[in-house]
Amino acid sequence: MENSTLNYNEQEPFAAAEFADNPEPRCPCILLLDTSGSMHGKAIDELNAGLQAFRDELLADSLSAKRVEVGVITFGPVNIVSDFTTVENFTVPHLTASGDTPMGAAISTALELLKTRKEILRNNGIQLFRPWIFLITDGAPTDSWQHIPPLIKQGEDNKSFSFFALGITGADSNTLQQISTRAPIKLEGVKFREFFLWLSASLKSVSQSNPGEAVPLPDYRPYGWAEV
Amino acid sequence: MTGSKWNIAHASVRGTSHVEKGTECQDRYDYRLLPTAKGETLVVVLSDGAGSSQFSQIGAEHACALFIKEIEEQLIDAEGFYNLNEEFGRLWLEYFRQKIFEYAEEQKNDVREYACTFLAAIVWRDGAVFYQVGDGGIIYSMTGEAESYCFGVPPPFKEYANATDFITEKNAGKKLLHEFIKEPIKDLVIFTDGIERLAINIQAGMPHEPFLIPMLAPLHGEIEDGTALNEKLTAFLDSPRINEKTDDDKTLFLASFFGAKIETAFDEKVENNFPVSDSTEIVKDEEDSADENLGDEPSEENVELTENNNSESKDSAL
Repeated sequence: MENSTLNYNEQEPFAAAEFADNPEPRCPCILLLDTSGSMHGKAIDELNAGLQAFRDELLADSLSAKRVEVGVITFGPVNIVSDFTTVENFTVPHLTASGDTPMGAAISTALELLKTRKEILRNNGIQLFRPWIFLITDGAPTDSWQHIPPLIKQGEDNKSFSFFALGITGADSNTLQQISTRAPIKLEGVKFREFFLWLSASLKSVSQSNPGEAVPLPDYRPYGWAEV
Repeated sequence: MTGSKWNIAHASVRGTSHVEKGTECQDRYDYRLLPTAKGETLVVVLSDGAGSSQFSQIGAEHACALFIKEIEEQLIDAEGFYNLNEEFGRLWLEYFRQKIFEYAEEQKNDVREYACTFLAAIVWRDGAVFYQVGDGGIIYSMTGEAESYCFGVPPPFKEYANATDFITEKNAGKKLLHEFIKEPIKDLVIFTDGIERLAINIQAGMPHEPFLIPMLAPLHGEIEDGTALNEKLTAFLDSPRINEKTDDDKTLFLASFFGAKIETAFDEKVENNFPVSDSTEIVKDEEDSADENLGDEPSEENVELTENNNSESKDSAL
């Protein structure tokens, strides 16, 4: 660095300033998707289309594209389809439906994946937004899930993440209510597209909130879904 | 300038995301150059209204006005300098909360709608006091040279990028950061969070000098037209180069002292500039002769506060 009396341009006296090249803060978002046999047909098609819309919407926003990190886990059986990647680099997977509904194992996998990701980001000095986990299901868990609710509650209480459960027709809303600290959301029919548009709008608000503000989420009611 | 020993440039610009949403700039700031028992004293206050609160710019405005008024009254006599400790900051925060609460009630609004952060500096000839609640930053240098810039208060990094503290919150006093510097300050830079990612190397946790030094360079020379300089700073903060880095409101206050200093760090320069035999005799105002320690050193408190912050943001669930 030269000394402080360096010459500067009279017309643009501040033009010589160089900005710190900080990495963008990240907002991890896990999509935990039920791909059990009952999702076969229209539901899985709509889910695939919804994912595509989700990606396109976020990609159109340059800050969100750099800040939102998407991870996709499907269950039936549990499969990490896509580990965390920024929207810029996110390739939309093509999901097919088969198998049962191991929701408990899927949530455990999500929490583990998130924990690892947060450690990596933190060790690299990258700022975080509070991560989101979205569970979307049309059924009831076929595996053991009783250990999950305390983990979700602890995570919510410590602000480690926000967990949202989304049930479509056929979902066991009683179980979802026990798993999720927040009221589960009931999606009418299979309007995934609307849901994912809302989700991308919400993630946009979060990723555009510069350090320092609680983020009001966009109203979801016009999107045709409601809290149970 | 008006006989002041400070060169100053300041600007506040609405963020592009606020332009898009049609919301106004929610940053507010103000400053004074007060004649005091310790000579000319610079008082600066910045407040960033929360983007999620409806009337946060009003909260920010109140914070600036109330703080300036309080300091003006405090510094009427020399005794007032002794009071600028951490406790003073806490009491002022309580006073602010009371005032904003009354205002919110009058307006029939929730006090949270006035949420805002708080950054303040009081700088006199051979010392300074800094206060901060929430994000943004205070950086200073004693020489204005490379590798000399440091944080006025350690930046309150939080676990999450969009989490911060506001002075409207009940526990704001616990979030107060306070530092007392018993050294003469040459350069002072205060900014709201919209500038944070330009002026701070977040990974290194250091002030980013390649930004700071060129920004202060115009203030190290003689300023012919302060208004024009402020306009240029405004234009710079609103330039595409900046806007592609940040879409938030951004306020930047720059100040550089060009009067004679009284510390050894400056002896050499003074000698070089004025090669007269008695030049090492540094000019010293009579009022400045008292060499007192000002206020309480709040180091213990600060440690405690820092720990609290950490434990709160600790992520024990995962």
